[in-house]
Amino acid sequence: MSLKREQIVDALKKIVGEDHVITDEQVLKESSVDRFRRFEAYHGVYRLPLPAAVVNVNSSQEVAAVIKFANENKINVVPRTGHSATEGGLETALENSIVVDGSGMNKIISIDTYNMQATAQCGASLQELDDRLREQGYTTGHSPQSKPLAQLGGLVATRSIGQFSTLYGGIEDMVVGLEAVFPDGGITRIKNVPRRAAGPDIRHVIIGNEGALCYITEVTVKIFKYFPENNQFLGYTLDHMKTGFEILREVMVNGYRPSVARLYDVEDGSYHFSHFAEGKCVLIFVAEGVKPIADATATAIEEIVARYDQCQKVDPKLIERWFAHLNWDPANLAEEKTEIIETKNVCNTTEISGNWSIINDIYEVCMQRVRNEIPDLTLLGAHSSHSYLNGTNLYFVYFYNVVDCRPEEELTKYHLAIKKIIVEETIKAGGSMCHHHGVGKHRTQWIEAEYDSSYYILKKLKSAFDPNGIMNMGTIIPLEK
Amino acid sequence: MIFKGILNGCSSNIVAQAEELNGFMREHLSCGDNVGSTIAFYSKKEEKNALLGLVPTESVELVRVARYQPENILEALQTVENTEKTDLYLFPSGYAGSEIAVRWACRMKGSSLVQVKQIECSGAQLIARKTVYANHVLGTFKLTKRPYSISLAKGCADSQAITIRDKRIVTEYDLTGLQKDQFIKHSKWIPSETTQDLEAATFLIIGGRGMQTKENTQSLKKIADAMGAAFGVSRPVAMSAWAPMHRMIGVSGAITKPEVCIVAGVSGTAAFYAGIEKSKTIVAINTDIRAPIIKAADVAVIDDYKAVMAELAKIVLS
Amino acid sequence: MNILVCFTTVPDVEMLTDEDWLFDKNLQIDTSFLKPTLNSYDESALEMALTLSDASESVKVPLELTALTVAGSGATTILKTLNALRFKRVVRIDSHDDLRFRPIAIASILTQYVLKHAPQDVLLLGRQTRIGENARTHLLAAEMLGWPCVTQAIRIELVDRNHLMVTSQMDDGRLRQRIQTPCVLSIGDAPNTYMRVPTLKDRMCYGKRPIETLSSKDFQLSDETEELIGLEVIHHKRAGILIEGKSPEEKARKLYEGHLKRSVRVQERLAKI
Repeated sequence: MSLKREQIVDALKKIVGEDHVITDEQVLKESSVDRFRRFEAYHGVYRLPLPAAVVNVNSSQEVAAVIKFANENKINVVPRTGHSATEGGLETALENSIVVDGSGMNKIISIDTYNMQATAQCGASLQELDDRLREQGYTTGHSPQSKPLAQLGGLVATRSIGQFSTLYGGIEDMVVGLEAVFPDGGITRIKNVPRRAAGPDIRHVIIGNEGALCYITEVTVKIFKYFPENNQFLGYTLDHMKTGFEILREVMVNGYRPSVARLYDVEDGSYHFSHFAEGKCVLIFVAEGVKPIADATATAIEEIVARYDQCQKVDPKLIERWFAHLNWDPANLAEEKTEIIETKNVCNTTEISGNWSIINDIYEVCMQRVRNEIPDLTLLGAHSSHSYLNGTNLYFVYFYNVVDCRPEEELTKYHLAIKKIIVEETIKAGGSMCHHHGVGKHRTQWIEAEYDSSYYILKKLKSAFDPNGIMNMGTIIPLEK
Repeated sequence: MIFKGILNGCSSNIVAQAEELNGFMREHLSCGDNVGSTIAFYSKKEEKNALLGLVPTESVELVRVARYQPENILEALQTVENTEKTDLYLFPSGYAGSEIAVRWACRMKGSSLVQVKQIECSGAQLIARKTVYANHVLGTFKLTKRPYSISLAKGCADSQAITIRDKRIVTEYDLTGLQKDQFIKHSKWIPSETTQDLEAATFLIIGGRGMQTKENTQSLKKIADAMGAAFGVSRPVAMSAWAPMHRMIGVSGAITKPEVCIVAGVSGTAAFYAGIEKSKTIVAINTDIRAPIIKAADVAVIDDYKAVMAELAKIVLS
Repeated sequence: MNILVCFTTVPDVEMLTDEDWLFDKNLQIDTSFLKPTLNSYDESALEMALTLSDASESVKVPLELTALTVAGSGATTILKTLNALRFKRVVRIDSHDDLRFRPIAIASILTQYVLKHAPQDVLLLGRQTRIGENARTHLLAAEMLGWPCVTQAIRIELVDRNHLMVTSQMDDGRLRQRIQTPCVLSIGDAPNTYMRVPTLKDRMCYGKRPIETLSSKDFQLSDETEELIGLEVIHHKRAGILIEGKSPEEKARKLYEGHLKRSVRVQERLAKI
């Protein structure tokens, strides 16, 4: 017999105290969604089951007690910290879920500049941590666009990646050790060591689990020495994406690690760089680190680019300035709501990855299909922002007018329809449908196609760690019909 | 310098207008070489005496018109000012003053500048200062052609009550029959509240786009009402129609000078700040420590304004 | 009815950091790295013109919209967008001069364009730019053309071939007037006038139409009667004391105890409640 809402709320109040259990209706509505459903949410439409409560937790022990209670009573739990997710990962797919909010666990526990590690609770703000480190001449190296809002728990749970990843890596390269709570209420700690071969790397059960296996309560990340004074900004305009991919590949396979290596197509470029790149693709690099390395990287990139006639150099100051204003600004986000409601023009994204040999083909076929099959588009473009030895990502960006369509129909008519094209073409070509936002709840329908025979491993993890099916159900693995 | 102040007696804020003009004249034109008089427009007969009391100079030309209508006002000025003796015309702050100032200067083939904060008479030329670059910069201009027509910036001078008792009416005109407005086939006036309450407020609470919704705007207003404070909003809030335009604070709205000003959820652009820069104490509440308002406030609280204001109201009202 | 909307793009100066606010001896500031944006009042004017165009079929008044800017080639992107939004004509009057504080020059160009190049019934402009804040161009143009000028327009409706219904926001109320063209209208703070966004299809069909380009040298520019002689950055800085606390409630209490309690005005106000 499942518990009623009031019973759940009462039990939670006994565990964390009345003040930390929120049942205000507007808060519950907003806690049933994340940025994926923002169009309908801005219009006051909330279609998902309201959670029974939002619980503000203040310690790993509280997290454990809440999750154990949920597990014993088969109640769905949605782990949350910064609430900046974009793929529906924070949506409450089941009735009477408990949203467990760890943003109050915001302590930066230690900064160890000898062992180059920083430890913080799951609710610690990345911006705050990085600002604190930078004051001392260090950095996490992690800078996603959501940095002003995002917190460590969510950043690790989604396998996030930042703007400087080409040098510093994604979150998976930065995590040293972790603490997490599993559905049985057990608090597990993975210690901080530089490397080990004592069985499989179990950190990777936790990193990227999107709350479907456990609740991350504490994270230790590497820190890096930071030399912003050595930063070198390089920008070029060019004619063809294909050439841009070739240049990115040249840079990567020859062993250079600029912190930023970005390629924008004409449309996406026009949105950001119309003041200097009208009708052109744009390549951007940032070389970072100790001076000899930063200089050598910049010089090498300039030499590589110089071999391609179509590339025209751009004033580095323009690139530097643009970069300084790229991150989400809380004030801009507040304005977004008004603009979206008034203009009925929405921006969404889908990010994928693929090896060098397939990436340009994926780009071209997706652009063509989306342009032809989707109505009311006002902008359709893409950029590559994270490159590797063997390939790169593509971040498709699209704006559309919501025409003749109720708020609750917007996703089906536009965003999901576009996503379907991009996901299917990418998987068909052999790429991955999710580069860094996480599967969330809306790419689950393709998860078996994404994994193919290795889906076995993913499914077993879920059934092993969450046998009662209480951890963020509907995420990564689709709900059983 | 021979100067003339223009008063728009058809406007409901005539007292503030007159005191502002008076303050400006005392601050910038009080030296002996300057001789000033006033041209005062009005439309209702019964308002004439009150208007006379507000004239900031000894001599005045009274002009009755049907209503405030720019083309007719300009024609009226052409009738009244039929010589070239006047060097400088001072028009009131606000949109009416600015539009007449510029068009008058054109007709008189002189220089004009609107929303002027300060002037200096330097020999043959007039130097005037006004804000540019969205209130980030003070621009200094040299006006080269007489007569100079300028409109005042709101709050440019300390308003001063009119102390001159005896006025000399130089001439009185009845120009109610002017018909330069024939292009207007029909007109309807819908009065609304003015920004005067905000401009006179001593305790002010302002909400910005951090309030996020119309409902939140109304809630914050309720708190302001309960605490006895006037309530204003930043431009984005007014432009989203979450609050009426007359509550807007900033260069294109009210210029306030409260003793205490609490600013919640406002990022604090320079154009907004012009509306509160004369406050004695500015308290900013914002979740973003890097918002420009934080460094420009006396005291700041980095937190959710709703919780802070709710608690503040509780304390103040207990 | 022929409607000419005159607009300008301006750098978004709110993006400048404290260190960027530096004028050189020519009274110039480097804003080249800032993305140009449509001046907000002009954006309202453009959207209001498009709204009139939406109504033209039902009111049976054929409308021809022209968008014009006096600018260098940096305005090309926005001009293409306006083409895509189906402005009938999109005009750039090429100029590399410093036009920040030259409303007389702009007004004379507009006047000559209307009188010699393309007759118009309505001239629509935003009230002022964020940079020059001159707030004079529309008034000067009206005087030069000998046309009436209605300012502070926040709403414009099509009545018939020769008349518009214009609502203006005045200092103490709203004035709704049915006016006969020709006229100059300037746009004030008009709520809910973000400019619409063209679809990709419209951009492909209409966005590539030619942009009429003229040179400012083909126009007689009258001299300005006001000369810029100085620019001084205003720094708005106060103590900025941060109130610390574990909760918003604690911070509110500290705020009250430390800074508001003693305020005479607050006490006076409370006494009145």
